[in-house]
Amino acid sequence: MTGRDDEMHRAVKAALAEITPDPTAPERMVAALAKRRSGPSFGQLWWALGATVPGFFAARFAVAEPPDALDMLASGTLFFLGGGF
Amino acid sequence: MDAAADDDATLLARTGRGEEAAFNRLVLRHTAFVHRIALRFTQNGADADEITQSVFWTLWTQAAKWDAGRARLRTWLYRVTVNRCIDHGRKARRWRFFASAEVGAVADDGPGADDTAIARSDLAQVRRAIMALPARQRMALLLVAGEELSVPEAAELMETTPRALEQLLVRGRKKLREMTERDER
Repeated sequence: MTGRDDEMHRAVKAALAEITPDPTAPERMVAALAKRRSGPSFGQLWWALGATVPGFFAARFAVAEPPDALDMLASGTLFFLGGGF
Repeated sequence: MDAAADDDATLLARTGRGEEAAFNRLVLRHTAFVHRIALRFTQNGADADEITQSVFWTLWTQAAKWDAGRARLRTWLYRVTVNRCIDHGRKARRWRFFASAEVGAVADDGPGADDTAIARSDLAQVRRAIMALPARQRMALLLVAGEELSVPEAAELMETTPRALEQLLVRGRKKLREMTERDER
């Protein structure tokens, strides 16, 4: 290490040493991770969404008047056959 | 609690079986150095929290697959932390690119380039300059100067050769010198 490199090494060391560790971090991490463990997983959210969307349309279809229901069925079929366009 | 029941390997095995108390002990024991590296690397408390949490979340989700014969837990945590920090640094740098063109501008190292660059710069200026370094250069400097690791140790954590790590250090120090000198002008 050259003299200038050594000088920079010491400056970096001093600059980083000024960034003092957070003594509350361990306790906060335990709490944050416990919260994360108790929350729903991505898979659970995905299945919930997967159940909600068809459920919504099924409910909407069930309460619709007959002409509306037929219209919804027809437009839904066309939507499906058209590949979503 | 006796020592054997409280060692990392035992706690890790229990964590793999889903024992939250054992996992919490590991988090309490090892968070300090993981968070310190992330904090020094990002210089931002919220980012350091995010990285630390993601490191331990990986541990929680992979503990059941832990192979007792592989690296010590502390080494593994070090390595995952280093990788997460570098990924985080790269993402942040991509965003910063749009905000500032200052990062990475390298001036020529002319003869007689000032030997007293650091004497003229204060530590806050050095810290700002460290943040402007590319992620791998910043991490190399952090491990060697901040964590006081040897070059081979730091190279192993960064999954590179000692020679390549030396290059990162040389380039990082050179850029730091240039940035601190430029700030002085």
